[in-house]
Amino acid sequence: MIFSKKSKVQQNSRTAVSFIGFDRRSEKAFEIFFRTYCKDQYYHTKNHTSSSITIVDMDCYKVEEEIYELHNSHPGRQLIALSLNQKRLDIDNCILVKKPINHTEFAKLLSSINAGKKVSKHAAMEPEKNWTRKPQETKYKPLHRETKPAASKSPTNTANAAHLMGETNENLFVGSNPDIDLQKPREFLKIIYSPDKMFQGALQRGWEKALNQQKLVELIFLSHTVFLDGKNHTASTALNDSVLRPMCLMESEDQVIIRLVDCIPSTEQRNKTEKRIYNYPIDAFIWKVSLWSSRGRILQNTDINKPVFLSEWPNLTRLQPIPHALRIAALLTQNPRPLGDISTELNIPQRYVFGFYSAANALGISGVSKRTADALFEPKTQQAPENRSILKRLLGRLAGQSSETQESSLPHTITHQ
Amino acid sequence: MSNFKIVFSGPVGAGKTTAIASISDFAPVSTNENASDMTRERKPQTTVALDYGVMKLDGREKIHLYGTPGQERFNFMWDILTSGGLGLVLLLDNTRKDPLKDMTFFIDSFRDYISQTALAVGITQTDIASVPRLDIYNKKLREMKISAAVFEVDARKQADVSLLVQSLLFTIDPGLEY
Ligand SMILES: Nc1nc2c(ncn2[C@@H]2O[C@H](COP(=O)(O)OP(=O)(O)O)[C@@H](O)[C@H]2O)c(=O)[nH]1
Ligand SMILES: [Mg+2]
Repeated sequence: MIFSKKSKVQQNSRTAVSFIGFDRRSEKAFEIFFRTYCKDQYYHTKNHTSSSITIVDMDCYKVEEEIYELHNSHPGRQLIALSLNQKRLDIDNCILVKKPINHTEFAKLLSSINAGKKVSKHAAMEPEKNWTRKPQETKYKPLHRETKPAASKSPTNTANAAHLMGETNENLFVGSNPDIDLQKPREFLKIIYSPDKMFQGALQRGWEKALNQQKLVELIFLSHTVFLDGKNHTASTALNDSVLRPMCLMESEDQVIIRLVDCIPSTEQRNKTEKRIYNYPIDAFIWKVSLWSSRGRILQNTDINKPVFLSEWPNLTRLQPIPHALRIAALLTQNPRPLGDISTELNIPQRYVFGFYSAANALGISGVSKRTADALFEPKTQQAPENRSILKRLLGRLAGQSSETQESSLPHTITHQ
Repeated sequence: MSNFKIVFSGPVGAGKTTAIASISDFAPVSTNENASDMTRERKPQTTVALDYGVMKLDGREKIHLYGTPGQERFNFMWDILTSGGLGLVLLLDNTRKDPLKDMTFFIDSFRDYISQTALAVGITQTDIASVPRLDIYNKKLREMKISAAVFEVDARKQADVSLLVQSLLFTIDPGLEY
């Protein structure tokens, strides 16, 4: 017994069930079934002599011999034979059940047998499709939210989501811009930035070169260097965050040198102050640099009214976390949507959506949709309120778990020289 | 009382038992057999039967976590596993010979279920094998017209597993809030 060692006394009040023809996996499934669906009324025994019911898998090769053997030694034994094609057995006390098995029906069957009731010799069962979500007809449906006034777009709404960030830390990545009125084009100036003129743009151009040529590219900016490895998809630099971040905020124009190199120079050749080297998966590096650069803004020339797409989820377990990234990704992978709609639908400040979009765009997985809102995938259905309440509570638990350790498992590895 | 389940599947060694252990309230009832069993010659971590874990929520609800290598499409276990199912967490071992083929195989065999619920894909052992990279998996999923998060996951890290399961929940309902 795997789940609990029941005392002898307890076991005696329950019905012993033995099995023929099942593998251990299936036997374990029955044990779980007995426990969760049959209120522990039955227990599994390997001993045919002490069991009152024997369940047989008729689709097991040459199982008949074993059944007849059991029948001869225990003629009164109640058998339940499960099979795909309702094979016949010439035995009394045998109930045939066609697979697949519906567990509710099966539990009823067992309890009827246990109560000594007469049971039909053939019990066909349709599997129950008691899944939490049903397919849906409509193609594009805005999220139905628990209605809250728009004013509730409050810091507390994002506070939990930002579980692992202090507020100042969060500002570094998504800035602190208030929402703008998207109907007023003049306000757009407040939310745009030009990565092309910044280190971010040079990084993207350098990476494209490294990737296309499958070679090593060196970026030099203000006498600092970053190496991009097109084969191994990594970035390495001696720069720590406190130097790198301000670099991302500067207008670099054409001051960044991008050049192909054969190898990363050894420590001796490098500046003696470069005590350690930070190695990043390239995506993690681009993501972080883009967040620092955009600080919750979007690329110049982004048409705010056109839907944007997300072709795949960013690899969020290995990227700098920002609040609401999971929700934005889930929503955007369903259907392209205008950026403004996302923040309204999710009821979150625009800067989170803008920052996410800018970083995903730099990774090449997001952009303005050429066509109007077209469904990539069938949208998921609105959950029933009671399901929602459970999902929400589960989420709360999981969020606690992911916050504790995530910062320490962040992307870069440090090589001490 | 509701009976919610999350099914973890994937090839042997992909990290199902470990992932469930990472987020379950109790050490999972791993049904790995002990030495007296006939399966003892298998490597000890290998799942012989079924993994089971639980996350208790406040109130009386529980989320049941099941791990299965997914061979039971037609046997008794299937109905038990899928009724009340929230979705599938598919774990793939990046060190295996053809993990993309593994993905296709598992998605094909769980197709009905996925189309009715949700899918999240975790690629494990990327610290040992960095290729195939995630964009390859994502491309394959698009070809298969399946929408799912694909994350690198170390099944031993609670934060990784937790984020992957969160992505599953948001895939079910992006309108959820913390
Ligand atoms: N190096 C490494 N080991 C892992 C990772 N994920 C899981 N493992 C290990 O892989 C082994 C197999 O995992 P297990 O949970 O037994 O796989 P299962 O057969 O799917 O249940 C265990 O020793 C885990 O600790 C990972 O991302 N990297
Ligand atoms: Mg296992």
